[in-house]
Amino acid sequence: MRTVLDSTILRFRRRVLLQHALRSFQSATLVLAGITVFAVIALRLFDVAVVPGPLWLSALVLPLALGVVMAFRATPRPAAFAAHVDRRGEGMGLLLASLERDPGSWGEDVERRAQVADKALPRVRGGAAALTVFSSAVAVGLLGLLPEIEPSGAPRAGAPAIAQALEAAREELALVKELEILDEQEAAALEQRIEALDQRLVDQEAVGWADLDSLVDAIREANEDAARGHESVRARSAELATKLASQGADERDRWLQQGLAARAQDLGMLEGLPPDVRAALESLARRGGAADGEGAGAASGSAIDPASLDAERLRELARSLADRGKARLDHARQQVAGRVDTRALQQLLDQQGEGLGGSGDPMPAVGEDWNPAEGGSDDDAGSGMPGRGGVSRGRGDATLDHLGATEIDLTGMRAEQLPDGRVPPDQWDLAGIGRAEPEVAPERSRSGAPSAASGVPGAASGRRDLAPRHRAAVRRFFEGDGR
Amino acid sequence: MTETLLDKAQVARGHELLARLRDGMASVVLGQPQLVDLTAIALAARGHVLLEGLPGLGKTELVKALSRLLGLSFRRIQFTPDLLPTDVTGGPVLEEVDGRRRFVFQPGPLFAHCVLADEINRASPKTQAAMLEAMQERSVTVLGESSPLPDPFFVLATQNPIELEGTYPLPEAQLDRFLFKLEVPGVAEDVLTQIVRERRRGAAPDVARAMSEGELHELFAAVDGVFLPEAVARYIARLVAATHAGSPSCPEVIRGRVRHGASPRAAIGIAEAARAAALLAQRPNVDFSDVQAVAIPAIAHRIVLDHAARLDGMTARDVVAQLLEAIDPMGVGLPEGAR
Repeated sequence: MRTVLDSTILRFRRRVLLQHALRSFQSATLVLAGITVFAVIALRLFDVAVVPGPLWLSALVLPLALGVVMAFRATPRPAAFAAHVDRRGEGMGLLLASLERDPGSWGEDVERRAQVADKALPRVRGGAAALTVFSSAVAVGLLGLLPEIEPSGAPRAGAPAIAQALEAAREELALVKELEILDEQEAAALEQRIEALDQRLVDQEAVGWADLDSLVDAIREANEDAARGHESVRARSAELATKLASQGADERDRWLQQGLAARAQDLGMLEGLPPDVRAALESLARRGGAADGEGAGAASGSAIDPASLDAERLRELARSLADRGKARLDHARQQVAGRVDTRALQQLLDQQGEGLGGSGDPMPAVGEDWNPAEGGSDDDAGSGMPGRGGVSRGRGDATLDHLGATEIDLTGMRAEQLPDGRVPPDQWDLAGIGRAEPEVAPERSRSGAPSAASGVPGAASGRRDLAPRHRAAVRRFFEGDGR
Repeated sequence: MTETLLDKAQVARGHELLARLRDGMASVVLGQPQLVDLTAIALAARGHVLLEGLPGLGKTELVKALSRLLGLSFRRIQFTPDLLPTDVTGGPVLEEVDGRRRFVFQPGPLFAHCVLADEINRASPKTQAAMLEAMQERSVTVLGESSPLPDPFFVLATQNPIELEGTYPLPEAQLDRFLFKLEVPGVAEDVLTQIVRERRRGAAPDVARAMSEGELHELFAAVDGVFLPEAVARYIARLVAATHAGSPSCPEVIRGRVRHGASPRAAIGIAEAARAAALLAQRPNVDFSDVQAVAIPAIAHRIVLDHAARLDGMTARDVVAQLLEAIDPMGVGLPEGAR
């Protein structure tokens, strides 16, 4: 059977639960409304229009659930409620005790005081919570009054402007395509995108500026790449034209011929060439050498018969150069893989000339990549010295020698025993004889004692190891009347 | 709820006995109602009391009056620096019985119901330590033989807060044995006038025996029957735990000012004293207010203050008073609208 006290405590507990729930619900609603308003406004900055609707009220389930959970977590235990009821009913612990023991003859008192406490129970104050929820709903509802914007992807009033911009992009793409700035595949992809957007405009589907912007950006990027490349070519052309313009026509021809002949001779490839080609190249080389000796103005006239250098012969020359380069490369590989056959190498050199013996970068064979194993000359390989490098591949694979550690000369050192740290008795000085215990560092040990010389009350205490925050208090103590 | 609270008649009887004791003491010690109440409470809770005050304030008179009111055996021990433990506890004496000599234990002055240890801090620590077992176990062990002290056994000690030269402050273990340490304040002018008019040659008025030994045990039974609700017990536990600086419930005002907190013996003592206080207030149960009434005299002498508190001019009583303000009796607060 439930007593008045039980009912009072139960009622009080319900009210406290409800009050806790309302407070938590109120706070959570306020936070939720704030987040909603902020999110809606932030989305509008990104052209996303969100309009609040009645369904949004279902979000109140979240603060409601939070309120219930928090209420049960924060609500005190029944014994605490009994203590609160006891205080409100001025029970002086009697209501509290009667919950745990039979009140016996105190039953009437308990009931009377429980009735007093019941009347004094607090009312649930839901006004603030209701006001908060209402104001939050109004704040969210006001978002619906914001001026409409074109949400992303929806047709908007500016559709003609988009069509105009699309047309401009189409013209620009045509120009880029005509100048062959883009390859055909990229140009076709961009054209497809333009056509797709055009079709969407015709079908009155949503076309946003974002779609158009990405297209225009792609075309502009291609244009900028082309402009940068064009500028570079133009600068190099201007530089070459300036260089050539500073020389005469004959000198230009001689410069070109000498370059070709000297390179062929350096490579030692003249012997394997057809006689007419070889003769032409030797003539060129001789003319180049004569020109070097006589000066630039001595050489004149044509050094090579154009008839002997038709396309077919030049092709043969190229093939011959490639074959010889490949033969050297194969030979070098054999040397690296197996034992070096100097005699065969010498025969090859006798047959094909010095070739790679010159300083600086050796010319790689036509169609082959340079291999570091080929880097050293025969002399280098035979002597075991590191190979020589060049401007394009560093100093070569030089060996690293470890020179070993420096040895210490211990002959100039000797061991010596240091003297004892104690003072020998014959050097003692008698200062006096007393019965008091000797003091270690007497100046330090006396520092805490009051000093007559200081004259300031509490100065000695102030010098002790006191926390800084206590020093003022200690000083006040000694300066005052001692209380 | 099989157990029943003390009925109204039992509470009234217990209150009447306690009030009789209190009124008797109040007739001897004038103008000190709180001192008298707390002394009566301590006796009802079977605790020992340390009275501290200046000379002439009636400490010894209070104890003497108490012994007369209770009609129990009373001994007074004047503690001096040369007092030996056997002077207090008694010791073996060689006696010749039927031609045979043997040691016979001769009880000391401690073997009385009510012992007045006057100026206890003047005795050496060895003699003070002789009181430890007597106060806690209510027995005395000499030469390996334990002798029980009479029941009830009270020690009421006095000490003088001045003239500290040649004294031995009571160690913490000794202080912890006292349920209360009561400070005897001075009296107001009108009370002093009354004392001057009523007392001739300093003689205290004769007080009749207030209760028999049976009634005293009846009072003890009534105190034991006072119910301590769980919420109040938790409050006592929180109070004592909060005196320890390392406790999470220790308030910030206390932390850093207390070096050592109160012991569990303090919590037991507070509960017992609160029961007696409730009976004095005619209640069958302990209330938070009863705990608050006895907390300061029960805790203050058991905590060791840090030098920071001393430099701030705080006493142990101030610290406990702040503790009482800081600790919420209810334990868990209510929301703002429900307070």
